[in-house]
Amino acid sequence: MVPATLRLMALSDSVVTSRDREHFLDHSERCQNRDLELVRRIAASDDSALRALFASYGQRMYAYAVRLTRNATLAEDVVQESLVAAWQSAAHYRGQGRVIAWLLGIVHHKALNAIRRKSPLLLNEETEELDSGTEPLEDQMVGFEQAALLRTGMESLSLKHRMAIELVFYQGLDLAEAAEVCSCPVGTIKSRLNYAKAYLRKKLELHGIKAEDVR
Amino acid sequence: MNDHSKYADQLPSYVSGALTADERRAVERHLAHCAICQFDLALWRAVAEQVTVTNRALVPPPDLVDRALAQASSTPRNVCSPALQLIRAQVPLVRSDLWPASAAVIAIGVIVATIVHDVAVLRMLAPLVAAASIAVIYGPENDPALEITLATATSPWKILLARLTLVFGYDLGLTLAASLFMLTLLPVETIGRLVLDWLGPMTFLSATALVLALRFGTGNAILATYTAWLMRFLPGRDMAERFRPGDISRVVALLDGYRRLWEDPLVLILLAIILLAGAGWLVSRQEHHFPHWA
Repeated sequence: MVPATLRLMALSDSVVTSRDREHFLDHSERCQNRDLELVRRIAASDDSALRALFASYGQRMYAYAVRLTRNATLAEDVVQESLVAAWQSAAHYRGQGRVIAWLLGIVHHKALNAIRRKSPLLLNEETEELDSGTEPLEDQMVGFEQAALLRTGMESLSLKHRMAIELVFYQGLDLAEAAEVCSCPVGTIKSRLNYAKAYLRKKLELHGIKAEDVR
Repeated sequence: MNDHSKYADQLPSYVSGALTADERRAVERHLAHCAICQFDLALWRAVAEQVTVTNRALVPPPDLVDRALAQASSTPRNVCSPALQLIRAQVPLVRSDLWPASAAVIAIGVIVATIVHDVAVLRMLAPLVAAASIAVIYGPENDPALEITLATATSPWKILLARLTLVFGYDLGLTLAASLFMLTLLPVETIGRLVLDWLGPMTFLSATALVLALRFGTGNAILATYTAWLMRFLPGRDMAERFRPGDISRVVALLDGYRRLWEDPLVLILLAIILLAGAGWLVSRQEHHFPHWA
């Protein structure tokens, strides 16, 4: 399934119309009903339901696991464990919130446990200090330069800031859902996003890309 | 929060399409005349695009679900209730030295009580052991992995309650076992009185320690609760005589009242419940207490 952000961004380059938005919400509601039915079937030990859920959300679960663990092999283990956990605990799922938020909550928990076991240093990583002299840029085309800077900037962010960005911008969760996945207050998600924004802004400015130049 | 901050906070959700139609319109009205938010919007859109491009390239192996199903078929489904699972999950997460330390202190108390033939030793020690245990169950200073723990799909309050149940249950079990052992010194019919003598203070002191630890840190919580508990044993009249004669009756009355407070288990348990509600409120505001989380 295409992530929410991409779907909405594809609808319009600048502004999503209210009709598009309503259509999108109808679609979301249908997806949620279908997902709830899948979870109910998983609770009844229906293999095909887990396969269907994986077909819908496996890519997003895997992407989130890779972004958290920074290790493809570890991410596979995390997703596998998460699917097993979903299989085992489907009967306890009470239908609160979206199924994708429930699945990402499991992936989040499993990924952090995996990191603690295998790469505990990742847990204590801090956002890297910005240093204008460390990053020579060969490509002078602003668009490529901006994209490269944003990519490296996001990689330099600490785990907790990356998590907030991933959950909101790729997974399409609202701030409350992201807070639920991270089990932290909504205010914490907001402050993590604000920190990430200020960090990325500064990184761009250090390379001559001012706020008004960002495209 | 002013309007600008409110709309600035909504921009990520605006970009990801998570706002309602009304919220979108309000954001767009603000965007029309706020240059800072326009710049922020451009940045968030660029971030969203990069995140999407990077993530789309990540494709899981198609057989992952088969592996999961194979693993699931060899693993029995959880039969425990989620609450029990949560409590069990806390066992490796609370400080491991807590278990033997509590058991050792209670064991020493039992030995001393047996030697001196006085169960008062147990009555005095049990609340102290419980308060110290409860003061170390939560917070970054006691649990380096707290952020990981809290990064589960479980609310911090439930995690705190699970740990409280686990640790307080352990202390309760230890002290009950010690009380049963004390039956070697006491007539069987006095066991109820003995249990009530430590149960109320233990519950109240533990709840106090929890609230103080959440608000002022573990060390301060232990110091304050120990002082509060040991003050109960101050010899009221002797102390009072050190004051000017006019103050004696007031000080004696104060100390007697303080001592009586500790002797009513129902009042103490009621106060403990109120304190626990306070602890829940403090945990729900955790970002203010552990600012490095932000």
